[in-house]
Amino acid sequence: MQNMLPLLLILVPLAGALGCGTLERHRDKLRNWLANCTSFTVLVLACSLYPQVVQGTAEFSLPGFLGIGLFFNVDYLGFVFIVFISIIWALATLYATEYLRKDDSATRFNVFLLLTLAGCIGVFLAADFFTLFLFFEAMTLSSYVLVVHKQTEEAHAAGRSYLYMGIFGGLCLLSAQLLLLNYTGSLSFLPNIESLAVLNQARPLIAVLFFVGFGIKATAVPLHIWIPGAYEHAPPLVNALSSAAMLKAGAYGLIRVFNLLYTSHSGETVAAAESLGYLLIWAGVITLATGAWLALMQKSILRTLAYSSVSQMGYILMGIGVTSYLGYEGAMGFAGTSYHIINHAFFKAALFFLAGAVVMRTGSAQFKDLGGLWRRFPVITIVFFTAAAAISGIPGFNGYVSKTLLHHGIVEAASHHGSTALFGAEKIFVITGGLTFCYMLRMFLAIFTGPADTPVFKLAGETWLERIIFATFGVIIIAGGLLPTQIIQHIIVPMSRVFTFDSYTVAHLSDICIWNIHDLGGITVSLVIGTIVFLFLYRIDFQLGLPEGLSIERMVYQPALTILLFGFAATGMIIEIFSVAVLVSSVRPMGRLAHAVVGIEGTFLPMLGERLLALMTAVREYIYSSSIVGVRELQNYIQQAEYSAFHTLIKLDYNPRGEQLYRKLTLMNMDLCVFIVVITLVTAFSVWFLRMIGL
Amino acid sequence: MFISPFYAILVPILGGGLIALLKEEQDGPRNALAVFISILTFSIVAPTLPLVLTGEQLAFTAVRISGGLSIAFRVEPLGVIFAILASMLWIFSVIYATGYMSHEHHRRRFFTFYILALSATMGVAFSANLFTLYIFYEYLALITYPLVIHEQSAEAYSAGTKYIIYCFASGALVFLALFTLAGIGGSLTFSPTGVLASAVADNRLLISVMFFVAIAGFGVKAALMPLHSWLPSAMVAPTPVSALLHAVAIVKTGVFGILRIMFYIYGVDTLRELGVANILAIIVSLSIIVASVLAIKQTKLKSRLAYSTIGQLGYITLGATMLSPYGLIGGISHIVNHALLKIVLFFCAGAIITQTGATHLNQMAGIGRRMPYTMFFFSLASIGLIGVLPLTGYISKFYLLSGSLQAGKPILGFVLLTSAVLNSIYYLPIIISAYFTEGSYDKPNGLESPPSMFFPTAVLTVFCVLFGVFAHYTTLPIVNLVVTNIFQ
Repeated sequence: MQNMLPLLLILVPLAGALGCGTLERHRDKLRNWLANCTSFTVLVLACSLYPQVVQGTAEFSLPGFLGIGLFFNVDYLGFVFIVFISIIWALATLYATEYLRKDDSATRFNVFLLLTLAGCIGVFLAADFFTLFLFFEAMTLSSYVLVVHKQTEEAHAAGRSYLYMGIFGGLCLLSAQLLLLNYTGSLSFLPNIESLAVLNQARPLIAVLFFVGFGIKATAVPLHIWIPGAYEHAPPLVNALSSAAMLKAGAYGLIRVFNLLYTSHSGETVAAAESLGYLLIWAGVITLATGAWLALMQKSILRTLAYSSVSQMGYILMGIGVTSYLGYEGAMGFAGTSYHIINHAFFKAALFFLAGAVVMRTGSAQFKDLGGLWRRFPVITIVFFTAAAAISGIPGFNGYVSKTLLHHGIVEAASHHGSTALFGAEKIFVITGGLTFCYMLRMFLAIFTGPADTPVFKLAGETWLERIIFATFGVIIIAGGLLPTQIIQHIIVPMSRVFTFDSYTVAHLSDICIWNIHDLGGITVSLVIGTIVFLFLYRIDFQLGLPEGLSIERMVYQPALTILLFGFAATGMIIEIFSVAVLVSSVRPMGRLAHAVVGIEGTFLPMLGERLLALMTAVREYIYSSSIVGVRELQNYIQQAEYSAFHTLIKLDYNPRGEQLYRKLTLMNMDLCVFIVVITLVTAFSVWFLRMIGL
Repeated sequence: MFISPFYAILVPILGGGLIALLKEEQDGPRNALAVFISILTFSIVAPTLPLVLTGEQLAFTAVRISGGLSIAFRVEPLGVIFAILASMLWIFSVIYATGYMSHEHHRRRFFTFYILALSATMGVAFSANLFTLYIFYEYLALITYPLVIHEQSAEAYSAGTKYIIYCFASGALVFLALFTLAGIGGSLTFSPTGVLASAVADNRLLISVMFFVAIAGFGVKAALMPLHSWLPSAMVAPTPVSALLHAVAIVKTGVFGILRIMFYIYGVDTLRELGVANILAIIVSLSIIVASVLAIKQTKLKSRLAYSTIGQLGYITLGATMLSPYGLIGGISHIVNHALLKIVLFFCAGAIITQTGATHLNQMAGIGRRMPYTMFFFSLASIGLIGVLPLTGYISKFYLLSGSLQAGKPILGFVLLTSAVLNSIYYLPIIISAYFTEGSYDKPNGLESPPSMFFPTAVLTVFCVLFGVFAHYTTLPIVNLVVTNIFQ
């Protein structure tokens, strides 16, 4: 049955964007009202999906669209994503009215905010990879405008790397899904490793392409390079949405690929899925550790939070890896990663909102320019503390729950096959938890405590709207921390039904209690490590900074790209010059040649002809005259031969005796006698012969 | 009805003659006449579409020269696609040209040849054999020469010389291939399964060589990489000429010729047997990548569009060389899609040139303020060419990529994806600098460009979206028909 809600969820933000865009420029109030109404309508629509997704799924399809078809199918997993994203979006739109009060480009910002919302919601509504890809791309392209909102030189540079990496990722996704379609004939989100297992080379290729495509958004190291620049120069509000929703869209894609597509119909654990999961765990661990270390080295709020996002996405990646690694028994990993996705969305959005509020007022995001702000901004300070505590995993806040679940997950994964390497990964996990605590503590202290360099009471105070928004975040974070059992039972467990998990592990999950000495002890170890690192770094005043110019983008990607482009451009130029030279430049020499030929025709050819004629004549005459001479010679020769023959005959007849010619016949001239006898005989014979034949 | 190709060729010739009779000052009647003739031609051509969709194919022979040589026409799917596309876009570009040319000199000459070129294109589209195709191909080159040198500057003349040299070299190669193949195969009448299958066994080498000669011949007009240089220099022509002739008619004639040679003279089976398509695929792949990189280096908007055309035309030929049904669907639908998208880009470029005088990319900073809608059309069309969003370009790219997998040559798909990245590298900065940087442009008073230029662009942009979203109602049915005929 067609359910119109998914379509409405796409169309409402699009209509809102159209409305905001067509309003006249000065009608700020109406525009803000419209934008807020739109995003709240989206929230209401998202929540009204609940009755359907509890029973099954909400489906909607446009089979002919683009010749390939758009298919929406909302299951509980997508539903949860849509709900928390629309909550954050509604708060962000509300906050944008405050944030953009004096901005000239507020209309543009609102329009693209709503377009990005449509793209983002579409990602979670999609029923197959094709639809997901379309909305993913739409989200990337429209959020680009938000990233470059400030239109400064740096913002454009950051935007470029955001955009091009986004497009590159999109193309990876496109090729992955085409390979998938070609080899398995299906693009839907169904466990399909059996048909994938038939392929030998394409299967890892598809996995890698999907990983790169979604991993760029999900900031898997080393695909995270767009994030520091983009987060530093985009409005913090956009960073909040990016961290809360767009990064999650990448993670969502990875979940759909690695926890659903690369699993088995029958619920068996497949070796291929296991090895993929193993690699993903390590990708996650590398990401979380690198992100945390880099976050420690930053000197501004926004960059620290950017690397913190990288690090937290590492946790999520690791969770996805654990789920994939454990396969049928991966419910714990999935619970951890999905819980962390939701938590991170809220506390990171809160942190960026607060950072935005601070940066907007002080005009600087550098730690050295900030300090002592708690006096002026009490609510901001409290909520910031809440969010920072949550991200550090302090018990009582939501981050503690999800990190504990993730910790359970990695421990399960390590003990599953007794892998020593994964026990190492678990140690890195614990240490990184400490580092997270360390950089959050440092950031909190640098911003809110200590002496203020600038007179803080001259800064504009918090408005009530801001206080309400921030307090909402604070409440959600604390609720997530204090009501873990309810959340797991009502949100996480239904989500896990989308996958094929062992019912025993799911049951174990819903009974889990995280308030035990073991887990609290684990987090205490983390916090102690964090405190030690903090004390050590505090002594050197956090002067860990890497050299300014050190960035993967500048040192690897850009030179490689430049060299490649230069090579091709040079080849192209050479081809071009060569082909023009051959075709066009050869025309003039050929013309000259033709001209020269015409000249030759006038003078040289007649002369040549005459010469040739003369030569031919001479040859002919020579042949003629020499033949005549030959004939004459021949005549002479024959004549002489005749003479000599005659003389010889004469000599035969006559013996030369003196001068006389005629002699008597003697016996010495017997020859003549013989001659006469022979003639006589011949004559006689002839007569006899003639008589015989009857004449 | 029976002789619609004949009228489609005759009407523009007579119309061109009538336009030539009008005086230079009589702009009103001339513009009206030009638009009328192009609409009339379209209305002659359009009814052939339902006809071929029902499976009928009309043929008639105009002149029988000797033996196998004749000038003959036939209404069949591939030709109908090209004819309808060209005659439809001609209407829009004539309307656009009336606006663009209103301040130019020699309008009479311009419109005369502009309309005459339509008849040559119709002739190419409807020709039933290679000989007829060749004749109209050469005719088109001659007719368009006055349009290329329209500016009459030194640059225009040198571009014109280059153009005519390339065109005649191209014609000579086609001619060579034409008579050699006629000698070997006997018949040159296009057939969806090819006509050379029986002759291959005896003349394998000669037929393979002639394939490259013929492809090089048509490849000049299709701007295949080593033979492309005339296209960027011909950008000196007025923008309607660049738009229609250099993005739609002439270059598509070349591609059309390549398709005719590959599938209607050689045939899929013969090509598979000879294995020549793989060599062509390598050349075309290089052409796509190198042209896209060169496009990045261009500083003039129109040159950048020209190099982009070279790359995009490569998509079509690449789709053909895959020798797989999906690849060919992608290739043929890209004829339509690229035409729509590129003509919008050129129309936008022309509007920018006439309204602000900006020709170089660095003059275009902040132009989104002066021409917001034009730049919006430009953005949509260029995103369509990158092939990301549900615009027309996506459809062809999707089919091309599927085709590369279907043919078992994923490397060609990789080439297409690389090209898409490069496309984004040279298109997106234009949009970004137009909208997101500060320039010296003010808001427009009233409509940002003359209505005769603005509305064709707007309507064609809507087409770009519609042909993308409703591809299965517009381009795909007839393209599928062509492809099923070829791969039967």
